[in-house]
Amino acid sequence: MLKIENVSKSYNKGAIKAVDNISLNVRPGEIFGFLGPNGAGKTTTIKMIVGLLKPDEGNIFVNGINNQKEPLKTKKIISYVPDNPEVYDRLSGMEYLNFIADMYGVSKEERLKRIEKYLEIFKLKDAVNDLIKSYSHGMKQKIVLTAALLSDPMLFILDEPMVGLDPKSAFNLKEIMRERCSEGKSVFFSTHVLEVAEKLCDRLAIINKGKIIAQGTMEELRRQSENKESLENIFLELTEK
Amino acid sequence: MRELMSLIKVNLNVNFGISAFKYKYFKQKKELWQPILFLVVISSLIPTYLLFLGFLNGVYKGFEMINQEGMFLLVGFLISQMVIFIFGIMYVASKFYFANDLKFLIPLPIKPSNIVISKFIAILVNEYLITLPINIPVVTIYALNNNTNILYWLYSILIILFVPIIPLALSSIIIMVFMRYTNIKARRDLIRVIGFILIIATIIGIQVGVQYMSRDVPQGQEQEYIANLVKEKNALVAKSAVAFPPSRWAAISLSNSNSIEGFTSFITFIGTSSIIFYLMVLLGERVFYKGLIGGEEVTAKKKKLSNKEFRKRASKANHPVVSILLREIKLLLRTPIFLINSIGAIIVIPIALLIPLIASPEVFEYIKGLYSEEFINIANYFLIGFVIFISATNGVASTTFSREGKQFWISRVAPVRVEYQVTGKILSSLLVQLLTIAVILITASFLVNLKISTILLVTTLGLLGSIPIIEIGMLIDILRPLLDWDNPQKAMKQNLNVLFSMVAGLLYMLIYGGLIFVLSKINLSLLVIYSIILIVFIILSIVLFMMLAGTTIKRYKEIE
Repeated sequence: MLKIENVSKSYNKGAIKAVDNISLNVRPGEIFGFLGPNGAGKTTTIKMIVGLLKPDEGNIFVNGINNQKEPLKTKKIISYVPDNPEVYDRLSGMEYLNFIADMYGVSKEERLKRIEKYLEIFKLKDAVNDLIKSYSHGMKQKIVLTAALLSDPMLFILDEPMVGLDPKSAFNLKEIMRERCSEGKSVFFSTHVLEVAEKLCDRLAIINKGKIIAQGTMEELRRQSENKESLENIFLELTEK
Repeated sequence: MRELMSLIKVNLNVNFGISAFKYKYFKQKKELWQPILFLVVISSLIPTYLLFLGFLNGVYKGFEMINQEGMFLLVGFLISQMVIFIFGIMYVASKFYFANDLKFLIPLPIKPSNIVISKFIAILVNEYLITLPINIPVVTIYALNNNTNILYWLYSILIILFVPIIPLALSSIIIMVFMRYTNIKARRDLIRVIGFILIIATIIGIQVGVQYMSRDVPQGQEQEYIANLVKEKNALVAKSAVAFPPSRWAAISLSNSNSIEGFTSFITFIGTSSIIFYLMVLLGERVFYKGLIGGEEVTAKKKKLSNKEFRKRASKANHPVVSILLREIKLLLRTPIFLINSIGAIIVIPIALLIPLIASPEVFEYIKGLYSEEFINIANYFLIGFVIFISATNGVASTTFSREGKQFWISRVAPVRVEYQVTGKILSSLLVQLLTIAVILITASFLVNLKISTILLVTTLGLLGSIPIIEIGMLIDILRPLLDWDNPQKAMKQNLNVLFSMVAGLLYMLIYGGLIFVLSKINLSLLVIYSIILIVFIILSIVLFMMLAGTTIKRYKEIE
């Protein structure tokens, strides 16, 4: 579903290598966790997948389509939730949802069904007529999540989705992720909450200083590490090398 | 004091983006062509500036002929103080009340007056960029033509530095009081926008009105009046500027720099500036927070939608072009700063132009005479050109990408053809143009009986002719979008793209004027001339659209 091949990205004319020759593969029906300490290159990688940054080298394929060559086709398959819910403050929740649905060409029937479903799950139905400016941080995040789910994306990409969500909403989001995978769709998300990754992900990659230092299922990662207790130990051991 | 100095330093840094500039051009060494382009554009303005200096010199000679050299200084100071006063209202409102830094400044243990002073100084430095290019040549031309002493130059330096203080402090006081009493929950944004427009229209109106009255020459006694003027040196200085005495004090202190009268005027000017500044600080300490706190909060209506209503709203599908057009217009109308700067300006300009015409019957009759059979086509060409030029200057097109700011990612990840996105944006600018045309035609109809042909020509050619310059504005904006702003004012009023677009608009007007001149010279019929203009507009629109779409596709991939 998502294939990253030898992708590199540097800033300051090569002075700082944010992402250094990484490759990974997310299969259909899989939840893939992308772990790493602050500043490791997680957001840079995600931005390259969704087309907000151009890789210096390497290719990214979404469902077999190169995202640099045919960006419109890959954008249609992807939905992206950024780490900071920056949305149009001066639109109402409903106006924003309709705008995004128009962008993805979601039909009237489908959009009504999905808007109802996700607003119900995230308990946003009563606030949807208000301006987003009046929302709390968590509510903004939930309206972005709802909007991203309207197009029923094959590949759902989330940057630190659990930050700022209340426990109930975080639980609901995890349920949604699982439900999507059972339908054969893929989820790719970055996090530094290790318990979430440990319980939720089918496979994981750990990135540190722009390089992927470990990749695989929890079992495979355990095998790579001396201290096999928890993901926390594995993570600390690998990233402090 | 240390707290204040540090606040001032940070404010100046943020205001002029000094750290961001250093980081981008010295550390990242990225897009170095931008500062170079900026220098090119600035130097392309030098000939215009030289023309302006020549014009100033001419104005001086005019005053010298009637023995009123002091008026030259007065007019210079008065114009810069008026400009600062009017722009100051907008600058102060956005910097004091709509800037994002307030969110973290309020919780800090800082005296409100210190925040007010630091923001005031940042705007002050900004204003020098406008006043210095006017005031330095004014005092220099005067000095070259008169015997001046060292005191003249000493006074000049201090006066030039103090010129913006009174008008800015006055705008700050007006805005602080205004915000204090409009900090009400319901419809706050709407009340404030209407209030701003009214304040600015009133200030312009009063100024223009008073200037006309003070210059009124008694009918039938013009000769005596002029003769009196020539006898009495600088009599006009004393007579004029009744509306704004500080400019008079500044002018008198310079024109009489070697006498005691000059000294007292100088002291009065500096003293009054300091007192008004101090009053503003006192007021700031007491009311600044009261107008501010809660000002950013929006009360949720908390109106639950009925099931039927919910279903209706949740199933409204639009074509992406329509959807983007609606988004642009909604954001423009609902963000007070954008609304004031784009549509507010469109409404204020004709009002300001009308007031003096109504105040002076002679000018009124003269204008009427221009809209006669003989000149009607020139009037039409002029109105069409005016409409087009407004679209180059109002900043709607040339900040269209910049205004998206941190939300720009949404447009970039949306799976919508860039052509559609660009079309939606062009249509939103045209909608604003439609309003411009309505305002201009309604204003004109107060003066003369507009013919149907004028209305039709101005509407169609005005709109079509605006498309190329809208596209050029957008092209400028996508090449250097200003996305990282913390205060919507920066996206529009402090965005250099608007200046670049204005320069492009001037060139475009030159070509438009030249085309009409040539076509009229070769004696073509009117129908043919209008048809040729129409075709040129359409071809330009199409060619520029292709360039714009291509560039935007490229930039969507590159921008970081």
